[in-house]
Amino acid sequence: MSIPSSSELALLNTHPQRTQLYLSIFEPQVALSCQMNGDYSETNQSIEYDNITEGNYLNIGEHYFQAALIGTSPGLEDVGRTWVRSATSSTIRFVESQHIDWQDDLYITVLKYTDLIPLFPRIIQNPANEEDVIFYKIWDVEYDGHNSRLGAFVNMGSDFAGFLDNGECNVYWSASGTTHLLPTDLSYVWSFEGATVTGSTSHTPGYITYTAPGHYRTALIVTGANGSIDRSFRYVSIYDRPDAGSNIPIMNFELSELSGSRDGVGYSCRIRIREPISRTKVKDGALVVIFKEDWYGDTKQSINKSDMGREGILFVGYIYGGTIQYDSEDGFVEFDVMSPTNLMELSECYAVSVENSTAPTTWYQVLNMTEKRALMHYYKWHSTVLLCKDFTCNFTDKDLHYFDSDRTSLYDAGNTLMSEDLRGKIVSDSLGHIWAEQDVSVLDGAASSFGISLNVGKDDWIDIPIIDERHNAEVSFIELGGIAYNSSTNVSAALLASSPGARPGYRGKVEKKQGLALIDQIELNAIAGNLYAYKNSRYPRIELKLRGNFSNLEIAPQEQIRLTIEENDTPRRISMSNKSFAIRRVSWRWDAKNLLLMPSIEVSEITQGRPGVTIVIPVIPPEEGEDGGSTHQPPARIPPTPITITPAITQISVYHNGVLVGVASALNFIDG
Amino acid sequence: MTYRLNGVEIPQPTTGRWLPRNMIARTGRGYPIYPAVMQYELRYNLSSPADVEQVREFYAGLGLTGTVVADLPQYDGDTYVFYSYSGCCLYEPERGSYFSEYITDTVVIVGNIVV
Repeated sequence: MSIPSSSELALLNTHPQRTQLYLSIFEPQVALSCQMNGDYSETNQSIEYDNITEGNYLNIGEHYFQAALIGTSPGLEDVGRTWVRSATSSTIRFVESQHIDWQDDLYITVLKYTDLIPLFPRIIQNPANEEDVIFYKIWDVEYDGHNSRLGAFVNMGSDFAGFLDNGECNVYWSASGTTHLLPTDLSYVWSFEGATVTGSTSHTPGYITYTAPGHYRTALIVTGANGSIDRSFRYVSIYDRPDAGSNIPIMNFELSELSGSRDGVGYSCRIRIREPISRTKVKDGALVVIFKEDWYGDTKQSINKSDMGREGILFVGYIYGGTIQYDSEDGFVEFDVMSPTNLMELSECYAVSVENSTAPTTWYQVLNMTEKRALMHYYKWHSTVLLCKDFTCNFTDKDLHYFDSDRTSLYDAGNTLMSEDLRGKIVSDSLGHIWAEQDVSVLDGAASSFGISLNVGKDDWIDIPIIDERHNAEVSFIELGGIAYNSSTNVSAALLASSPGARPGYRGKVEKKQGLALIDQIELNAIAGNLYAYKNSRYPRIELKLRGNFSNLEIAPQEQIRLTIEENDTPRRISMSNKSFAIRRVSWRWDAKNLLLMPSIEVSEITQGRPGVTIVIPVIPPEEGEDGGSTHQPPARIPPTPITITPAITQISVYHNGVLVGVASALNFIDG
Repeated sequence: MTYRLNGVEIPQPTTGRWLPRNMIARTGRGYPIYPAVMQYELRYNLSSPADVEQVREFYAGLGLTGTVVADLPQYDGDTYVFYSYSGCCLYEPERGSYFSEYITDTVVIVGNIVV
């Protein structure tokens, strides 16, 4: 959480302030460089290889999905990019790679780096039973109790970039936030590439020391006592200080439009580099870390966000290839960098459908399914999202009967579940940590449960706050419906509720929403009342430019500020005291000349509604009366289908250009 | 008491001055917000090309990442003494027109000075 301590608050209020930014683009190390030897096997997506020029197969982890560059020369990826499932001393096995035009002697460069990609499932007809199908994940992973063991959302902190000081850079590592979906004991195995300590089996190894500049991978494998295995990787870039060595980060760059919004999916920014840089470094999907040093008065210290030990990181994202532009006249390259959730929007996976089971026996059954388990199943088995980023489900879990995702993006598949079932959202914070949360609009008691990031008064903002004030209700009536499902008893109850009561207000539109996942009627009534209050809140949006580097402010997890405005502070003479607002958007302005990093925030009023009312769903729909739908129409009569008698065909004469060419006495008809 | 860059004496300017900090904004209470860093301007009315070249070489030698230690009149001292400010950067020297084989109105700005 990014709730500052009292000493940090004092620091945030210390002036003058300055911040120096640095730009890091991660350069993965080579795990294996070799040449393809022979043909590509479609049946198991593998190749034989020879002519190793760098590394070996032991640098390739099974199911690490390390990126492989396929090119006509060593290190190039002019033929394409794919990902490795496993390797032996003679073969490399890839994910399905029909997008590559495989040729003998192509150069293969496997990196110590995992991209964020979808992983495709496969369904085949059961050879032993033509009325049955067999489900596989990642081409040929057969079901073997995976959905009973479930797994852990592995959290290990964000990617990192920093400087060597006195020959050392200490990077904090912890599995804090890692949660298994079953009550099972967990064990941890860390691997720290490039560090003075090579590994650890501790939950929190703490500060690990790096002594040489370079680009390194840290791996964490979390094993459950029930047999589940989950992995995740983060990347570390260690640099010399500009006056202390030659391995320095990018210094001469401009940063603009750095902002993140809960109404979007995460953060993005535009970067313009004004120094020579290789095209192989600035490319689609490259990992970018913007790191910083902050001074508050004479004190050099940075304020922590949600990840311990990452206070020096401003933003973690990926280069979006379609935005890379070179300007040879002015001598710069510029591109957009975006959060992992944006990247997830660009990658589509097949439709996935799973259902609840108390004893799963196949891939489409999940043990006592809930939203968290559905998200785990989808992202663990259909993507590398959980291998690349921290993922936290920050909501009260509910039983779920079915989960069906369309053939859609990795982001939409999970986000649709969150928005339809929970009125929630999946959002990435500025460090690339992915959060699945219910929206403040439906939460009960948000003002008391959300942490307070900041108390804001007129000493804290600059210029004049921009206040959107709602004078008329936007919504007159809300009707919500959903299912309370009990996975252990397999019993469902349909529930309906409305707000502000059984009858609407007098201004605004009517909104109806079905499909919520619920615990009971009381919860639904509360959600209806809260949503009605939020949609009609007095202050739906206030924009504040803040006077200093309040780098603790974030869009996720959801937090509040307490805002005090006095009558004379605004021309409209609005006043409020310690009023709770939720942070919806944070944007940063970087003034390199004056070394100033200053945020603007957009907040929305946190409301608390009174519970809506229950709409009783009749067991048998009424046919008559004011609420009934009967029109006393006579029952529809469906005429019998006439039976068509087809004369038997004994033979067919076949003509071509009017000339009899033959007679067929037996025909085969092929459907479709 | 002389102006120096990285300990090397540079041509002494005709005038030198601390540039006023630009006010970034005002708080809701009306208080000004200033940046933490300052700039110092060295101005030369008439310089030989060799003098200008000496300063230009300092600038060029820093490249994109280098910093200098600048000996300048102390900003917050109560006497006229020079103080070594580290971590400074140089802006590209500006120069005016030639006059009798001399260069007029050369301006050197030392930036990123934390006082």
